[in-house]
Amino acid sequence: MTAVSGFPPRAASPSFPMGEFNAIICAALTKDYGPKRALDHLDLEVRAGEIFGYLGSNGAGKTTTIRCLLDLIRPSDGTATVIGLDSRADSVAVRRRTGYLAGDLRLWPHLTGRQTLGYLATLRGGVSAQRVAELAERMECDLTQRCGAMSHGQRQKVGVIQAFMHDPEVLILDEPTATLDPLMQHTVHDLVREARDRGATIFVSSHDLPEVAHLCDRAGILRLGKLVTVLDVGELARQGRHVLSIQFLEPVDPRIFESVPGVSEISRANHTVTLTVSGDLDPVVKAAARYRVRDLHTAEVDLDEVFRDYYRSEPADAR
Amino acid sequence: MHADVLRRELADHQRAIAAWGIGAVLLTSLYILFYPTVHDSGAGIQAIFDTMPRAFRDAFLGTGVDFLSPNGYLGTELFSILVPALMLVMGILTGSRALAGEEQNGTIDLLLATPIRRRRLVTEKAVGAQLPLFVMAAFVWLAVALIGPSQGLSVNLGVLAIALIAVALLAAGFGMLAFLVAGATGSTALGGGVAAALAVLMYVLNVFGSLVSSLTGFANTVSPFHWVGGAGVLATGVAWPGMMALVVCPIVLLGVAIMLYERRDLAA
Repeated sequence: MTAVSGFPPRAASPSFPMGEFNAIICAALTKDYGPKRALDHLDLEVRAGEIFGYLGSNGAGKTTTIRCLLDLIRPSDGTATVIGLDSRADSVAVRRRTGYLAGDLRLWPHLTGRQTLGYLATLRGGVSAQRVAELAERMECDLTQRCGAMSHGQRQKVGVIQAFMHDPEVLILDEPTATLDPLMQHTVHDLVREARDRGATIFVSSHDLPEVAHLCDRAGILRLGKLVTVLDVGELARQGRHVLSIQFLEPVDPRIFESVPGVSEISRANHTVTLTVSGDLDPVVKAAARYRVRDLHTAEVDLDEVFRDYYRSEPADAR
Repeated sequence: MHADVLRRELADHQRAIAAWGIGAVLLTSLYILFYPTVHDSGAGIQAIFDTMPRAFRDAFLGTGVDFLSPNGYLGTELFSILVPALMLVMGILTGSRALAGEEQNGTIDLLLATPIRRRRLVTEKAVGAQLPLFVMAAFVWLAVALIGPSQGLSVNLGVLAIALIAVALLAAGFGMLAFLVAGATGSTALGGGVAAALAVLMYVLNVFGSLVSSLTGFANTVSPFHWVGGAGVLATGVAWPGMMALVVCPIVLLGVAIMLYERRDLAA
C-alpha cells in the first residue's frame, strides 16, 4: 500500500478465507486503573469475516477493550491478538491492517477534512485518492471545511472516512453512528456490510441494542468488564423487548392480550393499553387489529433492562 | 520514513515561527540601531558601570568585558537576557505542547491508530518542537550580520553563530525537559511548569555563582546558563565542555522521553 493510485483491488484485500479463524481474540484480558478494574479476565473471540456487536452500557469496558487492541493502553494482564498478531509486540502491523473510529472522535481543528485525511493517509504510506473521494461522496462530507468549524455529525463523517479509506482487514468502530442522522447511519451500515462482504471483520461497540440487532451477525454483552454472553443476532432480537402503547377508539378489555405470546406487564389507562412485548410484535398487532386503533406507539426497552434479565437468570454468586 | 509528523508539525507552526523570528529580528535590530548613540555617550555609561561592585558587574557583563566594544555591547544586550529568555519561552511552550497536546486534545487516538511507532512519533514531535529555536537563532544572526556593520557593530560572525547555537541548545534542553515531563504525564501544564521552574532556578544559580565565590565552582558546573557563556560570550567564545553538555542534554532527554512514552497508557 505505498502508491497513492495503486491501491489493491477489493477482491484481493482479504488475505484469509472467511469464518475459518478468529480475527480478534482476547484471552483473560484485564485492565486495572488503580484500584478500579475496568476489564476483568475478558475472554472474547470474534470470527473472521463477521460483524460483531460489542454491547454494554457506559463504563462497561467497551472502549477499554478497543484501546487495548490498538495498543493505546496496555493490559494489566492477559493478551489480545488481532488477525493473529499480538496487540503489543506486533502493534504496528495490527494498526496497518486495522481501521479505527474512536468513540470520542477528536480532529485537529485547524486542518480541513481533506488535510486531515491526507495527513493520516501519508502516515499509512498512502491510500487511494479515488476511494477517499468515493467515501466522501457517499457520506456527503464537505472536505474543504476546517474541522474546527464542523458540526459533530460532519466530524464523525471524516472519522468514518479515515477508518474505511484504506479498506482494512479489520474495522474497529467505537459507537460509529452515535452522532449521525438516520440517513447517514444507514450509509455507515452499508459501508460496514460491504466491508464484511469483501472479507473484512468488523467489531462495533454500541449501547444501542436495536442497532446491533439490525447490523451485526453476533453480539457480545459486556458488563462491569466481563463478557456476560455472546449471542447470535436472532437471539438478540428475541432478547429485545418493546413497550407498546395502543390507543383504541373504543374501550377494550386488556385481558385479550393475556394469551398473546411474549406479552407481559399489561396495563390500561382510559382507551390506551400498554404492554411489554418480548420478541415478535406480529401477534400483538394482529390481536389489536380486531378493534379500531387510533394510535400506536412503541419504544425499545433499554439495554440495562435486558441486562437485568440476564442477571436475574444467573445464580447470585456469578454476579 | 518520510518524517510526515515532523512536516505536519512545522507546517502547523510556520506562522508562529515567522512571528517569533520577526520579533527577534526587530528587537535585535533595535539594539543594533541604538549602538551608535550608546557608543557616543560612552564615557557616561562606563562611569555607571564603574560605580557597580565588580562582582555584580561581572555577573551581568561578563568578566573583563568592555561594554562599549561591539562584543561587549552585543553580548550584553543579546546574550544576558533577551535571546535566552525569548528562546526559553518558545522552547518550553512548544516543547510542552508538541506531544502531550495531542493527548490533551484527544487527537492521539487518531495519530496512533496509524501504523507509526511511538518512538517515531516522539522523535519527530521533539525535533519539530525544537527546530524553530535554531531558525530563530538564524534570524538573529542574519540581523546582526546584515545591519551590524552599518552601525559600527562588527563582531566575529563565527563566534556569534556558535553563541546563538549554544543558546538555542540551552532552550532546547529546557524545551525537551518540558516535552519529557508533559509526554510522560499527559499534562502540558506540568511539563511547562517544571521546565520553567528549573530554568529560573538555574538562572539564579548562575547569577549567584558569579557573586558568591564559594558557589562559583558548583554553579559553573551545574548551571547551563554558565555553559552558554553569558554576556561575555562574544569576547570569550563558548567553552567546549559546556557546548558538549548542551548538545548531550536534549539528546539524553529525548531518549528518556521515548522510554517513558513507550510504556504509557495514553489518555482517551
